Amino acid sequence: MRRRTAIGILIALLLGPVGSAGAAESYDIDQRFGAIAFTVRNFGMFHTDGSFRRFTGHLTIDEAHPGNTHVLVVIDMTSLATRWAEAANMLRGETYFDIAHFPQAQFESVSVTLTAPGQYDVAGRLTLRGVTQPILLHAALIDRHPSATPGAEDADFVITGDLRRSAFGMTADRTFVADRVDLRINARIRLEAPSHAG
Amino acid sequence: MPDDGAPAAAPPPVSWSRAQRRLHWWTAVLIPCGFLLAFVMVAWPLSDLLLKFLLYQAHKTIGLTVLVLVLWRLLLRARRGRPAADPDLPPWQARAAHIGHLVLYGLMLAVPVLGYFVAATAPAGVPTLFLLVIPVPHVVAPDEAAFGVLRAVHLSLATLLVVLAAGHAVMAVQHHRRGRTTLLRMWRGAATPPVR
Repeated sequence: MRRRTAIGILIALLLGPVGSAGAAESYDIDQRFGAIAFTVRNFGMFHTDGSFRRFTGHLTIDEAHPGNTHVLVVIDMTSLATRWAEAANMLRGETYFDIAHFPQAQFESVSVTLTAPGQYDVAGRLTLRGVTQPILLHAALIDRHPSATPGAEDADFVITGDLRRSAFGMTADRTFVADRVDLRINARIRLEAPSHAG
Repeated sequence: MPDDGAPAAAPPPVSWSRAQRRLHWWTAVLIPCGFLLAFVMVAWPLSDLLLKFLLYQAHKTIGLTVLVLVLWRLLLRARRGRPAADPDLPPWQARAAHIGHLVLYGLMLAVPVLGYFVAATAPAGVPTLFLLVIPVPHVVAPDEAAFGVLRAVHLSLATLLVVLAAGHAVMAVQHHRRGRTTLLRMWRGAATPPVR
């Protein structure tokens, strides 16, 4: 979730230099090329991972006021996938994501800061299992290349961060599954360059 | 003792060595433990994740230990040989015992090796940790289809192994009750026949 938001922010930042319009512009985050993946250590000896495959995101960029860049990502928790189906079933259950009660999670940015060329700190709020906690994500623009759509340009971001699952009330199997969960989000934003080129 | 390749000349030893006897009994204890543990670990609820993980690692550790012990037994057997069968044993019984022992050795090798591949191909992707701390690399990746087949074969051969081992134990006791030294020489190394 956080990653998606971060992606949105990154996209907004990226678009800034591309676009020329003065007004705020908004972009949908293209989830076809994105994935929200998480990794957690088990028993200190190995790790397991999973991902969310469906999410919707919206990025608003105000070139005149880069600080107003805003990202909102809503994650469909039922899209949880793991390599092992039984693990996904367990994670959907009450002791983990409790999807029956909380079918969605949400990330909303609070501030986006450019820390270095192509590097952004995205602070925001993550709502998971009905609990909202602050989270800081780091977004890196890794590539810009011509899009498959003629005239357009794609911007690829990798957004990373971590959270403490216990902060969201997810305390099951603490002896076996670490509290810290690492996030890695891959995101692509399509920049409609010709229409904004100035 | 003969070197590799020419073992036929030396007479068979009069008894099992202490190492051979100890290795025999360790495998005799570990195999039923590993077999029973398998059913417990599979049935254990996933919600009790840590204990389920520990049960699987214990099972894997037992299996790998049996594999090493059996290779050791085969090495000793190749270098030292085994005591000769009782001369008055009916030839068909001697032949049946020989075949039975061959099959037992084969299963004791095959079941742990198959178990390793079951663990490696398991979709859960859990590593194999010998004694819970020594990672054993998996040479193949998780593969659900292969896992299903390997698991069924592993279970079938393990069941066959336990059944044959039980038959092997029953036969040893039968020989003992008929006054043979079969059981005593594996237990104490004694070759003296019991008084009838």
